[in-house]
Amino acid sequence: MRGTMVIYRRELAGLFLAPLGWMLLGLALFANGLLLYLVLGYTGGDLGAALRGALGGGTLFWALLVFLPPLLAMRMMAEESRSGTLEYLLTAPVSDAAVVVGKFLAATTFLGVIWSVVPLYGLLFQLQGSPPDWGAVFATWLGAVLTSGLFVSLGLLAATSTSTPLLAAFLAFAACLGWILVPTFGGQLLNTADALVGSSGFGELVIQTLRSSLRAMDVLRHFHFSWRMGVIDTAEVVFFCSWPCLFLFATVRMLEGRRWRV
Amino acid sequence: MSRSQSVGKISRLGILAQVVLAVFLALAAVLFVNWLAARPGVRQRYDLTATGSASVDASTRGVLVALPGVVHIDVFFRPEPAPFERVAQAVQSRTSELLEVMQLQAGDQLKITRHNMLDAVGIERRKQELRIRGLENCLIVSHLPSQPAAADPDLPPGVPAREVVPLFGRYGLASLDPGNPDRNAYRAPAIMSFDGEKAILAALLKVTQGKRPLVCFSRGHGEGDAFELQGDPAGFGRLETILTDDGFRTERWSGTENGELPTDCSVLAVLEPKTPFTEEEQEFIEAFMQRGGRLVLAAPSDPGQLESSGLDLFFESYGVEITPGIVCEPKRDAATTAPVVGGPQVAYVQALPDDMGVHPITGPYKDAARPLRVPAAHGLRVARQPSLGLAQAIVRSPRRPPGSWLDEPPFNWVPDDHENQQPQDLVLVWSRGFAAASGVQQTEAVGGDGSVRENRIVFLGSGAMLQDSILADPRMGSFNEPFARNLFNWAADREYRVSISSKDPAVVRAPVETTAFVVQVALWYLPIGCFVIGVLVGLLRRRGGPDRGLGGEGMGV
Repeated sequence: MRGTMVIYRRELAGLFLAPLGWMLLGLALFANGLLLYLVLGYTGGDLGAALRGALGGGTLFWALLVFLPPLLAMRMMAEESRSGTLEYLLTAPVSDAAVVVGKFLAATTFLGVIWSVVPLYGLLFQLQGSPPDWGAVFATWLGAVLTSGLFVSLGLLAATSTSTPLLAAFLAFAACLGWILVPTFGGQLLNTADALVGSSGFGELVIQTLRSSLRAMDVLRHFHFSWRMGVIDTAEVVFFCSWPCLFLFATVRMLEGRRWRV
Repeated sequence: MSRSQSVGKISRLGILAQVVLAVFLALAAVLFVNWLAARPGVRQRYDLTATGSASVDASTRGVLVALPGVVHIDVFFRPEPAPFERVAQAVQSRTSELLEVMQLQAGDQLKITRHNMLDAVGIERRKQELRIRGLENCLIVSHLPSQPAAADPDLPPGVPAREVVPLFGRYGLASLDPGNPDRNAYRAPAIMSFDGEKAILAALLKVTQGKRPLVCFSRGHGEGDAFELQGDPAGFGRLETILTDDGFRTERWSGTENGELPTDCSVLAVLEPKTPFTEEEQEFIEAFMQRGGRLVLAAPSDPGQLESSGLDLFFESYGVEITPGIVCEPKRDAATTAPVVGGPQVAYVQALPDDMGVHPITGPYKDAARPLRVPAAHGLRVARQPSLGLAQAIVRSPRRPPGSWLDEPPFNWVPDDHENQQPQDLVLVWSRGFAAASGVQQTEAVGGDGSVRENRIVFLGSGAMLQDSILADPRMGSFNEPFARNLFNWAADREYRVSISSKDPAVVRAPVETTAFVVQVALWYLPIGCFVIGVLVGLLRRRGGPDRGLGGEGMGV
């Protein structure tokens, strides 16, 4: 635990005491502000819609989630691997799991700071006399942080597979994008297949199974129909905690595997 | 290849196999945990929204968990043309969320299919299955019972019962303010109320109920017409429409013309008769009650008409006394807040949730903290409890100061000393086991089909609360409409169908100046602040400032 906290502090300091972190933060806040502005204009000042829009309601949010975790993962894993500091870290008196979890927590915290700007908007609205629905804002913010954790863990796993930073970022980006798009496009493909197969027993069973599997993996659906609605759903908490655990576990295994490659 | 190289390769393969196995085991564990967490008994949802907009009503939950078979909901949503595209999108989005919540409650009993409107072949196929021609922006709720006997007898065999829920309109997912397109007085279209839950619930009940219960409206005694939709404010045309929309069949009944009440009649509504029933008609009603019939009895407001109708004696035969006086509530002057008395406007009571009893009819009012409008009501009193049954008041006149009083005829609309100034019962519900023709009270009735029967009566101190003057008035109707629906549903043994209040769109709109300020902060101040800090950090790092604290040694790694 101590090792995790040490790595966490080191990575967080690395993010916030470097110009790149602040530039990323500035860009993300600008994107969030733009989204708030657009949704407020589109809905005629609907506060709830604007705050939800800035947290998961718009494409921009998901675009940030697809781009930022790979960049952070690239910086935390591949960049360190290329420069040799990762090997230094791995030989330090901390476990591989502590290294991975510390990096994961730091990246998630960084994204959490970005999303925390939305409750800040809410606070500003409240101070101006238009209080938002705080329960809904809190649930959506929590969901955004947990979703960020999911994408960060996926990005770390993808970035650990190579020591080339650009390739790592690309792999992480592809993994995050795939996690979002496969259920959507897969569902459409299954609709087409369903129309071709018709109501034949086995084919329909296979399609139904695939459809329910894709549905179970659909992160947009998981986010939209729980957190974004202002609901804390235990099944969604488990979903957004268990998958990062799996990805982190796999990342630790991959890091351990590095020792055997040398 | 040397021996040591070979061993190294085998070891690595072994380690790789171990890693892969461990990851697969972990994957299996994750899938299992997710499956377990999604089980209905394990899964818990906590709605944190202020208005409860992410949950469904308790009555909706009750219906969803007790669906008699698989119900399909086909979603045919497409964008609306301008200027309605935004409101349509908002309603579609909220409906999707609502359907998701409903599916969680209903489990496998509710199949929701979201159709891609570009898939013309698929849509055409589904339209043929549902036997529909045109298609608008709507949901289609359909159900085909597994047992043919449970199907609606009005439908051909094999055809599912279906109900279309449009996007907007009286029975739609939301009511819409179309706005004003005039440039000089432009107002954008807006959602007035989101009624998705009510509309979908009504559709679910309609397609699953099979044969619809029959409500007969008595006529021939000066009652307001229930089948007249235009003109007569003392009529009950709107009530009839509400009941039809809620899945009842309705008919007129006159004892002198039609003879006995139809055998499939569930509820007889006697609303403000002005002349008494003949002995033969009373026998018909008695025979109906002995079959386990239900009554809704509403007294005319005029004391003279009440007396001439003989309804007071009819009430008394069930142990309920009715006063000739009218219940009044002082109105307050808007400027001085002093009580205003001395006008007929005081014969108008607004019953608040505190004035209502706990009952399926009034429960939704208490839950939604809604008032009920009771104009020109007589006071009611339970003089005698039915043996092996219960009579109770569910709506009373207000107790809050300055209080209500019973204005006695001749009316002067002023609380005189001799007049009763205690709260009065305005609506009573009465239920008991079946009363046999011999007069012997039984605990319960066994009908010809072997089912247990029970008599239920709703006594209304005022029929005016169901008249078109209230229900057809857009400002007043929304207050009394759920009450009208609830009382007939209770009378017809359909407590599960109690109405729910429409959920408003829960929109908090920020004023333009507030929006401008927050947008300025969000769009400019915060990002620019971050860039400035980033530049400062960069400059400090160049000078070797904060960099010293970073990395290995400083952090103890």
